[in-house]
Order: sequence, then C-alpha cells, then structure tokens
Amino acid sequence: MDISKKTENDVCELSLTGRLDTTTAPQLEETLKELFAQETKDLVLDMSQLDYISSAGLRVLLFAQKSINAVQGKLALKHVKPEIMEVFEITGFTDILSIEK
Amino acid sequence: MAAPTKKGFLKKIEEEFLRTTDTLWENEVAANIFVAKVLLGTALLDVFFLVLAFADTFSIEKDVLIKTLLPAFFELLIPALICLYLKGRKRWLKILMMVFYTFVLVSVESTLTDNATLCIVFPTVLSIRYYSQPLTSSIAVFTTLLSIFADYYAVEHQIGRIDMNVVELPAGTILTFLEDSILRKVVLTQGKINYERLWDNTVQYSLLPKILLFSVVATICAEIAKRGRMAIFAQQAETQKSERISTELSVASGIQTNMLPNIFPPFPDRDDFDIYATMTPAKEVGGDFYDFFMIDEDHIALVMADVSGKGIPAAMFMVIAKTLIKDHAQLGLQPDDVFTRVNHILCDGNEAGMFVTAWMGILDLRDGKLVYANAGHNPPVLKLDGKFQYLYSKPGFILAGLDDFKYTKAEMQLKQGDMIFLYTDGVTEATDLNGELYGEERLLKCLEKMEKRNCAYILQEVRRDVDRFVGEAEQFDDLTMMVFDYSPKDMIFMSAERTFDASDDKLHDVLRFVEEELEKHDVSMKDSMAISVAVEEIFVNIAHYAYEGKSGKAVVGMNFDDTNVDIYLVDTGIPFNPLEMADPDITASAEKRDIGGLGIYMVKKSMDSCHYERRNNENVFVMRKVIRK
Repeated sequence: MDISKKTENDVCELSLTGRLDTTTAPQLEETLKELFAQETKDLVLDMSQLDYISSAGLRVLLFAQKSINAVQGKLALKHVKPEIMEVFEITGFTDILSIEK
Repeated sequence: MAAPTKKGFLKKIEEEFLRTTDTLWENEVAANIFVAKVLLGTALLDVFFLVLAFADTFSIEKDVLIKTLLPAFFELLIPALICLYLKGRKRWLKILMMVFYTFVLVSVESTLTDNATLCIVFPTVLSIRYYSQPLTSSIAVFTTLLSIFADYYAVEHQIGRIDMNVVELPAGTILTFLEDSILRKVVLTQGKINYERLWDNTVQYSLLPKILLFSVVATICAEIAKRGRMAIFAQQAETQKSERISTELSVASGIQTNMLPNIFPPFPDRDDFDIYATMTPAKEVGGDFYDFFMIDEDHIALVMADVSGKGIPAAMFMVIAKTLIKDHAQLGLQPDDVFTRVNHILCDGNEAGMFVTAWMGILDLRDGKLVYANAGHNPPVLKLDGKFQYLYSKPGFILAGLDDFKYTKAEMQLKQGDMIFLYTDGVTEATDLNGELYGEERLLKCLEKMEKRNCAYILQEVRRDVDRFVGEAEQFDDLTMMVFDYSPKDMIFMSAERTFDASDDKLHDVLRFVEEELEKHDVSMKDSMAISVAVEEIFVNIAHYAYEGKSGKAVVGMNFDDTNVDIYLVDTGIPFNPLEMADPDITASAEKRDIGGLGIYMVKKSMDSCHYERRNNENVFVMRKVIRK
C-alpha cells in the first residue's frame, strides 16, 4: 500500500492507494501515530485509490477515529469506492465515521 | 392485438428495405471506386497518346489532337480524384464521372470519326457495374445524343479527318496523295462544303447505322444491369433464409440441451453421491444423450445413449428414445425390461431406419447393487477399489433395430468410493490428423492419471485430453460423458487447491491465488473483493491462533459451479469454530466499540453460507458465495 501525505492550513490529507489488509494496516497505523504525536487534529483520508479493506484496516480506522475524538478533532473520509462502502455498511462503520459523499 | 402485429410487420419491411439498400449502397461505393480507377487508367492512356501526338506520329494535325487530348486528361483526372478523395461515398459521383467520361470519349470520337467510333459504347458498358437499368439506359441515351451532335459538328467544322465526299472542289481539280494536314488546307482554301451531301453522308450512312448497332449494345447492357440487381436481391434473400435456418437450428439445439438434466448438483440435498455430465454436439444438434433421475428415494438410474445419424432427424429420435426410457424406468422396471419394451415401441413405424445404442444402470444407493443392461453401447469404465477398468459385458442388440429382441440384465456390487464413467463413441473415436483414434486405452490412462477430484473436474480433464489428442482435426461426432461418483461428497475435492504456511507473510500469496481463480471464472470485482476479505479473515485467524505460536499449514481450496463458488480453508491446528464467536456490537459509539470478532462477522455477512466442521483432527471451514456473472 502507498500512503502519500500533504498538509494545507493545518488540515492533513492522506491518500491511500492499494490494499488495506492485515499486512499493510500496521503501516497506516504507524503513519497515524506519528501524525497524532504531532498533534494533528484535522485529518482527511482520500480513499479514491483504495481497492480493498479487511477487518485489520477497519481496526486502524477505528483507532484513528478514537484518537481524533479524544482531542476533539475532525476525521473525514472522501471518495470511498462502492465495494469499500459496502464493508463500512455491514460493519456499522458508516455510523461512526464521517464519510463525504 | 392486431395493431402491434401490423406495426411489427411494417417495421420488418422497413428493416428489410434498409438492409437491401445497404447492400446496393455498398455496391455503388465499390462501383464508384472502380469507375474512378477506369478513369485514371484512361487518363494514363491519354497521356501516352499526347506524347505520341507531340512526336507527330499521327496523320491528323498535331494541334487538333492536342486540343482534344489535353483537356481530356483533366476531365478524366479531376472527377476520378474527387471520387477517390470522397472514398466513393456520394450519390452524385457516378453522374459526375459518367458525364465527364462520356464527354471525353465523344470528343475523341469527333476527332477520329471513323476509327474511334467504338469509344462511345464504353460509358454504357461501364455503367453496368452499378447494376441499375435506369442508369445504364440514361447513359446510353445521353451518349447517343452527344455523339450525334459531335459527329455532325466535327464533320461540319472539318475538325477531324476530312471526308472528301462532302467537299466540292472547283472543276478540273486534280487530286494527288498529300499529307492529310496539307490536304485540309487545300480543301479549306479552295473547296466548299456541300451541306446536302454532308447530311447524307454523316447522318444516313454513318450515324444511323452506328446508332442502330449502339442501341443493340445498350439494350443488352441495360438487361445485364437489371439481372445483376436481381442477383443481388436473390443472394440477399438466400442469406436471410440461411440466417433464419441457423437461428432455428440454434433454438432446436437449446431445446435439446435443456431436455437433458443440466443443473449441477442435480440433487443438492443428497450427499451420498456426486454426478456430472456434459454433451458437446458436433453439429448444432446431435443425437447423443445422457440422462439420470431418481426412481425412488434409494434408486438412481443412469442412461447414456447415441442415436444413429446426426442433425435434426437424430435429435428428434433422441427426444423420443429419452422420453420412452425414462417413462418406463420410472414405472419401476428393470433395465432389461425397459430396453425390451422401448425397443418394441421404437421399432414400430421406424421407417427412417434410425437406431439407438444405449447403456442403462440402476443403482441401489443403500447397498451399492448395480443392475444394468447394454443395447449395443460402448462399455462403461468403472472404478472399483481404486482401479479403473472397462465393464465388458455381452451387449444386446441396438434399440429400434430388431423387434421383439429380448434384452438381458447383469448385476454387480459397487462399494463406496467406486465410480461409473459413461461416454459415447465420440470420445473413443475422436480422430487426430493422422486418422488415429483416441481409443479405449488412452481414455483409461487419462482416468487413471486423475487424482481423486470432483466429477466436473474429471470430465473437464478428459475433454482436455481428447482435445489435445485431436489437435487441429475436425470432429464429426458428438462428445458426451457422464460420471457418477458413489462416495459421500468429500469437501476436499476441489477444482483449485493450494497449501500455504499459516503465516501473515503468506497472506498476499493466498489472496493472489484466490483472486486469480476468481478471475478465471469471471467473478465480478465486487464479489471477488468480498470473497478475498472473507478468505483473509479466516486465513489470518488460522495464522494467529490455530497453531498456538508454532508453525503450521493451511489449505485453501475453491470449487466452482455455474452459480456458486465454495471456498474451503483447512488447518490441523487446535479445534476452533469461528462461527461460535459472539457478534460485535455494530451500533456502539466509537469509544465503546471492540474490534474483536469483526472479521468473522464480516465473513458471515458477506458470504451466502458458512459452515464449520471438525473432521479427522482438521478444522474445515467452508463458505459459499453465489456469484453473479
């Protein structure tokens, strides 16, 4: 998986490319931990190039949401592919993540 | 109901008209290109004559010739180039080219009134290529009128060769042989034209006979053009007719295929046996058939048959034979009695002299007793105690061959794990390019090579082996096979299977294997991702927990049929049923959410069914997904 980062006006945007599964999820978790250590409060995840997500990926997204909530920040997901949206729906993640249509 | 029918009818006529015009239009475009090429060819010829004219090789005055030939070159070249530029795709091109071509030829004729007469038929002959009688007739009339005018004009103005018959010279003039061009000067300075004679000579003696002859040529050309168009229509009607016949044949083939049981597994609630069958007709419809059906709870009938001949007659006879055999078998008769009675009925009124070879067995699924009868069919292959062998028995006579023939039955004992492989001679008599037969020996070897796999796989492999053997050679016989596996459906018979180290590192290899298989079977991206996620969840579960930190293996297998894919994951770790895990609360807020069990929950939600079994110290997890292709 590729993660690219760009920061603009205190908003940090991560673009995720490829697959978010058991072997690649720790990579995203590392990146997020670094960002939270730098007190990032406004985070956007661009999912337009993300093809695949398993429960390991969901775990990392849940971790991100919890961390953001703890500092009263904002996490937004955008351009989510329909296959991935379906995973969010069956797991009830649509209720806890803010997903931009 | 009348209105839509009428509408449909009108639409059909319209479509037919459009299609017909399409063909004519295509012809016209091709004709335009052809005519353009003829014009270019004539232009080349024109250049050749121009060069000769410059070299003064003709008896006619040089500048007269050049005045004719030079414009002619452009009159030919420009329309031809326009046509080629437009790729012939304009209606007016034919008129443009024909008119200019006629102009050129008529102007040549006017210069060479006697020896270039034949020129004027060219446009008319050329126009035949358009297969249009009106066009050819119009061109003929146009050419005639124009050439009458040109001929008269030429003589009157003494453009071409001088016709001495129409020149009045002063009395006492002595004619000597001179060059034509000098003669012209002498004539034009000293003589004068006698217009009465001019009329007599050009019109009566030259033009009238020319027109008469030309009319004959033009009539023939117009007739040929008309016939050409009719031939196009006839060809079109023929094409439509053959299209209709081939549609009907493919419908017939569909009906025939649908008559054979072709939904597998046919008895989804029976797990004490497996069965699979295929038929590949050599023509659209063939005479082979297989059949299997339950006679009662405990008896299954297996039929394999081959009707003599091919095509529609064979297919019709097949339908009768199949229905009769099934009807009689379902009365509870033994195979020999079924054949005896069916034979009697088929012989009655069999004026076409058709016949059927057939093999039929009835198996008692409780104790494995097989009763069978053979009506001149190929011996089946049996797998008994793991060994493949032919079941040779003295065959009875073919069905529909000899009335009142008494068939005999034979019995044998099958054990669980045995198999019956039935086929028609399309398999054993498949021929390669050297005329060699596939034969019983090769078939047996191919079956022996096969590891224990599912029935669909066995038929697929035999088919592949036959195809490999046959190579490029065309086959004339239907290829029909059926395999019956008398063993409880074992979940480890798969169409694709691979063993991996149970470790996260191997996850991508596992998913690649799974996704490649899914792609081979045209599974949609959406289903493919759902299946991959499910495989990942179960595989990662095995990797993390099954071997309690030690290394171990996980087997991933997939089994496809027309509508489902079954995915199996097997490990030899500690007993663990993931389906017993509690579902996570998916409505809690983020803070209260626990991720445990989410993976299994996703599997349960995205797959159509999941099943766990502990068997022989193995955890067997099976998921089924209905695939929408």
